[in-house]
Amino acid sequence: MPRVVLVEDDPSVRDGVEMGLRRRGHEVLATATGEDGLAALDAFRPDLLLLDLMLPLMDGVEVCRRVRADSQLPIIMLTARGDDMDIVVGLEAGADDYVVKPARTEVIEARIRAVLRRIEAPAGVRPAVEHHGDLDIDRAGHTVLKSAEPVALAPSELKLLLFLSAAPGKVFSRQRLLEEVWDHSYHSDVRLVDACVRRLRIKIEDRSEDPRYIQTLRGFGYRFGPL
Amino acid sequence: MKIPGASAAFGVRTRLVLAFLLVAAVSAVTTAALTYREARSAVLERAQDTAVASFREEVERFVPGLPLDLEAVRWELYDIAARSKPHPWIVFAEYGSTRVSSGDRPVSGVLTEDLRRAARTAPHGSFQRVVKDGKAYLTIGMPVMTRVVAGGGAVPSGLILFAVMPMTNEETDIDALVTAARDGALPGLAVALVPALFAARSVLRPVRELRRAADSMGGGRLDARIAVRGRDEMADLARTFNSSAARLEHSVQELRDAGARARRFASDVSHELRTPLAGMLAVTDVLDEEAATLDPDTARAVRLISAETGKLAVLVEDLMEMSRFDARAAELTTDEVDAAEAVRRSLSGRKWQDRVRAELPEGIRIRLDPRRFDVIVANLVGNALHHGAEPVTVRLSSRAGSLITEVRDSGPGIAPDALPHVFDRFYKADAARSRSSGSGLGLAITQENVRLHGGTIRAQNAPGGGALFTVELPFDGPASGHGAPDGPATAHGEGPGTGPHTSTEAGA
Amino acid sequence: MVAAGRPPVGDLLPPRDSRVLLFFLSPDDELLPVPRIVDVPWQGDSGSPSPDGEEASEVLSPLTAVTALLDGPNKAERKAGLRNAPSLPREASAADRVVTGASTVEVRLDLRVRRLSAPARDQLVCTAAFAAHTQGALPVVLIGQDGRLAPAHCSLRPVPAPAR
Repeated sequence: MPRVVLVEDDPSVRDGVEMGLRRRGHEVLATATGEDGLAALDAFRPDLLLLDLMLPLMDGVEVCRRVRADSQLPIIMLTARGDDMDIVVGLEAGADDYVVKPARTEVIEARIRAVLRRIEAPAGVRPAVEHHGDLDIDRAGHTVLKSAEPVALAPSELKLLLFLSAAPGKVFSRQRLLEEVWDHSYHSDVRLVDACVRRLRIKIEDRSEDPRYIQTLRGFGYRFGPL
Repeated sequence: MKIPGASAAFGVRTRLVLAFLLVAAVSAVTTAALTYREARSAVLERAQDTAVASFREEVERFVPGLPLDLEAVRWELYDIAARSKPHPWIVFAEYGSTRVSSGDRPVSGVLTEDLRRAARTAPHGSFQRVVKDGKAYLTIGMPVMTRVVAGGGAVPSGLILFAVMPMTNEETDIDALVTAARDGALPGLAVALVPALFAARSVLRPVRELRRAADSMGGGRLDARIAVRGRDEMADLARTFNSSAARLEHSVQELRDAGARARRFASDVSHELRTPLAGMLAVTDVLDEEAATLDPDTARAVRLISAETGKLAVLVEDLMEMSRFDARAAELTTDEVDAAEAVRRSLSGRKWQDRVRAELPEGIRIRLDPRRFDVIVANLVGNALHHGAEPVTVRLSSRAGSLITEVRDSGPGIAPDALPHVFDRFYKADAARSRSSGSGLGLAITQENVRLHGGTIRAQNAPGGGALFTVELPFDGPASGHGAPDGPATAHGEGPGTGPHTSTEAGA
Repeated sequence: MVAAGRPPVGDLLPPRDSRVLLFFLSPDDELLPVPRIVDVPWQGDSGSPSPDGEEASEVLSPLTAVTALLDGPNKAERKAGLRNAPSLPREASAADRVVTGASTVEVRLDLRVRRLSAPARDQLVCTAAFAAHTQGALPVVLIGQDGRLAPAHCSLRPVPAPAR
C-alpha cells in the first residue's frame, strides 16, 4: 500500500484524512506545516504527497515548487472549490491532481490510485524505445530522453506524453484526456490538462510557444505531432 | 423615454406660447374694443353735441320771421347751412305744409317719421343717428319757439328746422382707430412671442433637466442631482427632487450594504463550516464501516450522522456556489463540446442512463463551460426524477442560434402558485418532501449557471402533463461582462478551446 | 332718438303794436300762432276799452282779432296749409262784441257756440285771450245764440324763454 505524507494545518481535517487513509491500508505521515512535510520526505520516502494549499508560513504552492525542484514525487493538492487561482498556481507549480475539500476518504483514495496508476505499455509489438524527432520515449522504462538527455517528468506529465504519443497525429479532446490520463469524469476541470500540457511543453519542446510535439487544435483538443 | 412626435407638437412649449399669444391677443382685442367703443362714443358725442349746439345757435341767430316768406326762409337756411359745424349739413324747414331746404330737394329722405313727430310734439330738440345706404347721418330736429312779446314767454311757432349731417368723417376716424388698433395689436402679438418663448424656455429647461435626472436615476445612477436656480416653484421642485433622490440613494445604499453584509455572512459561514465538515466527511467511511458492528440504536445514530454529514457537505458547497454567484465571482471556463456527448456523460456519470429517455441529435457543437452545463443537466434531471415521475425525457435541439435543452417528467406538474417561485432559493413547493433530497438551492444554482452562459431558463407545465424545464443557451457564447468567458487556463491562448473554431475534423 | 335740449327760441313775431295773433290749425291739427299785420290804425269800434287794459289798445282790440280769425287764413297762410276748424263758420260778421273785463274776456258771437268743436273753441279762446292780454293769461267766455260756455284758458300757454 502507498506511503503518503499529508500536510494539513487543520487538526480535524488532518486527523480525519489520516484516519480514513490509514484504515484503508495506507501508511500515512501527517504534518501540520510545509516545512515539517518537506523535512519528512527524505526519511519517510513516500509514494505520494497530499498537500493542503492553504498553509501557514510556507504555503502549499511553495512546498510544491521545492519538491519539484529535485523530485518527481506525485503530488495531489487538497483545496477548496472556489480557490481557483490557487488551483491554477498549484498546477503550474507541478501538482499532478487536486481534490476539493470536503471530500470522502474514498474520493481521496481514488485520486491517489489514479495518480499512481501507470500507463501500461502496449503489448510488445512496438520497440522498447520510440523515437519521435529528438525525443526518445521508453514506454517500458518510463523514461524520456530529449536529445539524449533524460527529461524529468512528473507522473501526470509522463502519462500525458505516453498517452498522446501512443497515437501520433490523433486528436484527443480535453474531456477525453481527463478521463484517460487522470481518471476524472468527463465534466471535470480541463485546467488540469492545460496546465499539464504547458509544463510538458516547457520540458520537451524547443520553443514552447511554437510546439512541435504537443500540438493544439483549437476547438477540439490536443494531439502528438505529426512531426 | 423618447417623447412621441405627436404629443411634442402640443407639448408644454407650444401650449405655453399659445397661451401667451392668446392672452396677448385677448388683451389687445379687449383694449382695442374698449378703446374703440369709448373713442367711438366720444367722437360721435362730441360731433353730436357740437352739431346740436351750433345748430340751435345758428337757428336762433338766423330764424326767419312769421309770417313765413318762402324765399326769405330759403336764404335764412342758406345762412344756417353755411355755418355748419362740425360738418356741412343741409337744413330742412317745415311749417305747416311748407317744405324748404338749403339743398337740392325740399324734403330729405333721411329724416325719419319718428324724428318729425318728436320735433313736432316734444317741447325740445331731438337728434337721431341714421344709417341709410351704408352711410351714417346725424339728423337733428328743432321745433322753433317764438316769444309772444320781447322778453316774454314763448310758444311754439309751428316752424320746425331739421339738419342732416353726414358723419363720414367720424366713421373715417373710427375706421382709422380700428386700423390703428389692428396695426398695434399685430406687432404686439409678435413682440409677445419673444417673452413667450423665453418663458417657455425658462420653464422647460428645469423640466428637461428633471427628466434627464429622473432618467439617470431610473438607469441606476442614484447620484443624479439637479442644479437649483432661483427661488421659484421649479426651484422648489428641484430641491424636493434632490432631497428625495438623496434619501433614495441613502436607502438603496443601506439596502445594498445590508445585502452585501448578508452575502458576506453567508459566504463566511460556509467557509467556516467547510473545515470541520472536511474532517467529518473524511471519517464517515469509518462510521459506515463500523456501524455493522455496533448495537442497532448506536448503528442507526452513526449512520444518520454519516448521511447527514454528506448532505451538509452538499448544502455547504451549494451555499458557497451561490455566494460566488452573488459576489459575481463565478467564472466560465468554456470549451467547445458535443452537446449530445455532454448530456450523455452527465447521465451516465450518475447512473441515470437507464431511467432517462434521451433524444440527443448528434453533431451539435457548442461553446460552454462543461462543468456548469453538467450541473444544469444534472440538477434538472435530478429534480425531475425526485419531484416528478418517470419517464423523464431529455431532449436537445437547436433553434435560432440557441441550444435548447428540455427536461420533462411525467409527474403531476408544478402547482400554478408555485410556478413563479421554482427558481427561488430554498423554495419548497411541497413541504412534505422538503427533506427528500438536495439543498433547496439546486434550481437556483441552475438558473445562475444558465444566466452565466447568457441563456434563459423557464419552467412550465407541459400540455400533456408533467413539468417541463427549457434551457436556451446561445451558440455564440455569453454576452461579455458577466464572469470571464474563458477560464484562466485558456485565457493564455494556449488551450484548444480558445480562438476561432477550426474546421479540422476530429479524429477521436 | 335722443332729446337734444331746449328748443331754439326766437322773436318771430312782429311788434305787438302792429299785429294781431290769430290761431289757426296746422295740417297736423296743431294750434299755431300766426301774426296778422293790421294796417287799420283806428277802427271806430264800439268795443268798450278796458279800464285796465294797458296793453289792449283800441286798434288791436280783441274784436278785430276774432273778426280776422273768423275771416280765415289769407292766401299765404292757406298756402302753408293753415286753416280754420271746419265747425267755425267763415263769417267775419259773426263776431259780435268782445268785452274785456278785469278777470275775463267775454266774446259774443252770432252763432251757436255749443255746436263748435273743441279745436274751433280753442282757436277762438286763444285768439281772444292773446288779443286781450300779452301773455294770453285771461280766461275767455264764449257767448253765442245758444247761451254761454264756461270760461276757458288758452291751451297754448307761453313758457319762460331763456334770455338772449
